[in-house]
Amino acid sequence: MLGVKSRRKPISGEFAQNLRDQIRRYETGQLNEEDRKRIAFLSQPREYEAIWE
Amino acid sequence: MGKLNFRREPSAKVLKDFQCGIKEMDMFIHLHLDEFLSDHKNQLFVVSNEDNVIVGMFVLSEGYFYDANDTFIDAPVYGKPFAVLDQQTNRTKIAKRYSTVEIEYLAVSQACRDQHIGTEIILAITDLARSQHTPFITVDAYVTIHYSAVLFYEKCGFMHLENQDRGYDTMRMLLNIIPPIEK
Repeated sequence: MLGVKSRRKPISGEFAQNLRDQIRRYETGQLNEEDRKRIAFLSQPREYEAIWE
Repeated sequence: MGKLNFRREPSAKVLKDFQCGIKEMDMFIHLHLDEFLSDHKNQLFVVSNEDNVIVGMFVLSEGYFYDANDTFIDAPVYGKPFAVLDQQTNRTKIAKRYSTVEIEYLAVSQACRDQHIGTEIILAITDLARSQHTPFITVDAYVTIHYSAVLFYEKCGFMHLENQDRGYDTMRMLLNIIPPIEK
């Protein structure tokens, strides 16, 4: 790779494909069960009120 | 509903009495975190409860993902690439870029375990990332034979970006917070 100074290896194979598929599902609205669970988790009612100081 | 206060701190000195109970992490916080924070890209946040007791801490930085079609290239912000090498054609090309909030460190006080503080911290970080229009949160989840944070991040919706059996003490993981189109 050119211009990349990272200790991390590129994400390839099934992991890259999984990520690309997930992004595509989010962008097209074709969500699967796992996506819906993730979205529900992230929008769950909060147990605490978060105050940023 | 209880309250949690999130505060940016310039120094790890406020954590002198903080113990998460994971030996390696506590040693790092008390001996080396300040040095890590000397890089201004690494930002320390402390989380305290209504009694002003510190119940958790986390350190954030920035990163980027480049989708080069055959791979995703995962680089810290200081490694901003402008182009990548197409491994099939061996030619340079521009890749699609996504920014990430990188969780460098996250720990909850040993005395406050099982109170869902870690989950609340993740939710607060997602709020912060959304406010910055950042689509991903990434982490190198700590995993050893004695302790693993992987299950916690899985419960929070993070996906694996590599195999667990590669022999390192961390696992690269990512959480997608792109607002989905609902159909």
